[in-house]
Amino acid sequence: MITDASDRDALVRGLLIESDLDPDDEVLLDALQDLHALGEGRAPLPSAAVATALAPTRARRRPLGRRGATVVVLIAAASLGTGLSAAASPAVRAGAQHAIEAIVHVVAPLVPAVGRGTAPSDVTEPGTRAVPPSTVPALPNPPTVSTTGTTPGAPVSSDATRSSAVTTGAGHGNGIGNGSGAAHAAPHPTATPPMRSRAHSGSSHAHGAALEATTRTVPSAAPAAHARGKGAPVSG
Amino acid sequence: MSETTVLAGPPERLRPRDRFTAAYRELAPKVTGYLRARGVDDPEAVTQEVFLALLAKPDEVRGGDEGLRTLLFTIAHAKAVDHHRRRSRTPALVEYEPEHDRRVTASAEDDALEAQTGVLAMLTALAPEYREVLALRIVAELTLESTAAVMNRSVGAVKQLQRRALIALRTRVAAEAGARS
Repeated sequence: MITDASDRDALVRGLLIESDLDPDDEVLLDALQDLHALGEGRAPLPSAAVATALAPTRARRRPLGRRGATVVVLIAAASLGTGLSAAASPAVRAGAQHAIEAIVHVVAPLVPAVGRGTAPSDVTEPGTRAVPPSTVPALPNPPTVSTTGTTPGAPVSSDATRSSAVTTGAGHGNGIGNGSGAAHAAPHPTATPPMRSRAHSGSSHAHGAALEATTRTVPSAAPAAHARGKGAPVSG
Repeated sequence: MSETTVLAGPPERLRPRDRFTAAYRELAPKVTGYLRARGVDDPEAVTQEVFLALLAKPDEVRGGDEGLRTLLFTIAHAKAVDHHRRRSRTPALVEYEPEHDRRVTASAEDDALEAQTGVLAMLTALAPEYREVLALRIVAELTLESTAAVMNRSVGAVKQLQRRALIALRTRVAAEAGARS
């Protein structure tokens, strides 16, 4: 296929010479070169039927070379040898068990610390409802105004907490923080679902209880003591 | 005249699928240009038909690359003839053509394509056999012998036809240039 300009010019001039015409006739040269340009360019997109007959143009994957085959053989041999020695010798199995236990011992303390706020089901007791991590709100700041005259960390009544919630506008005092578990039975009408979840846990968040208090669930009889133990300040 | 590069090499070393692929990449633009020069309405679609017909005739490809070209443009010639016959039997539909509308001005793209359309207009003004021989010799780059085979004429007849076609084209181009000036 002729695509070069000089080849195209030679083609057209050869045609004129072949026909006993002037090869330097500019009028014909220009017209014939324009005519030749009709057959240049890229091939049109093949139709579906033609495309199925065309060879794929993607590059082929290189077959596995000698080096790759050697590596595969070495890995297979090492795996086989390890397996056979473990099957033959109890000492190898004991050593492997000790190694695994050591790894578990190192890794295990990290798991609760990392997943304390994300795995409430670890301490969920039967009959209680675990709080999903997505429903746990951010830990609010303790109320700065106490309407009962107690310290901010002390357990307060439901009304007091509600009034402080109104005061701060945080809306986090509905039925929670009283440590009595009453909020579970009758939450405040304005309680939002996350707050209800907290009330369900029976913990007092108003005095900065740890996040784990929101993830742990206890039976309904325990919330008061639990709240006191977690959030009640030492009086005096 | 033809200097095939993609199809070069002993044909027996190429698998049929690879040979067809090379033929499509190399010759599809020329088939499309040939059909356009012959005045086929949808040259790209007819090009697909030509290659599908070539695919159905693997045993008829003889004579290396030149034989493949000859067969391919024989098929294209037959498709063009079929197209014109079919069009002659159907009523002519005149579509709206913006270039004939005096209320609009030519765009830059129209100006850029003016040279190509000018060639097509000049070809349209020629006799069908003149247009045929020029398209086969220049657009398809076929040899005199292959052109004779496609047109079912002798080499001498094609040579004379080619000469008359070139003279007619020159007369037409000169008249067009005189009309512009």
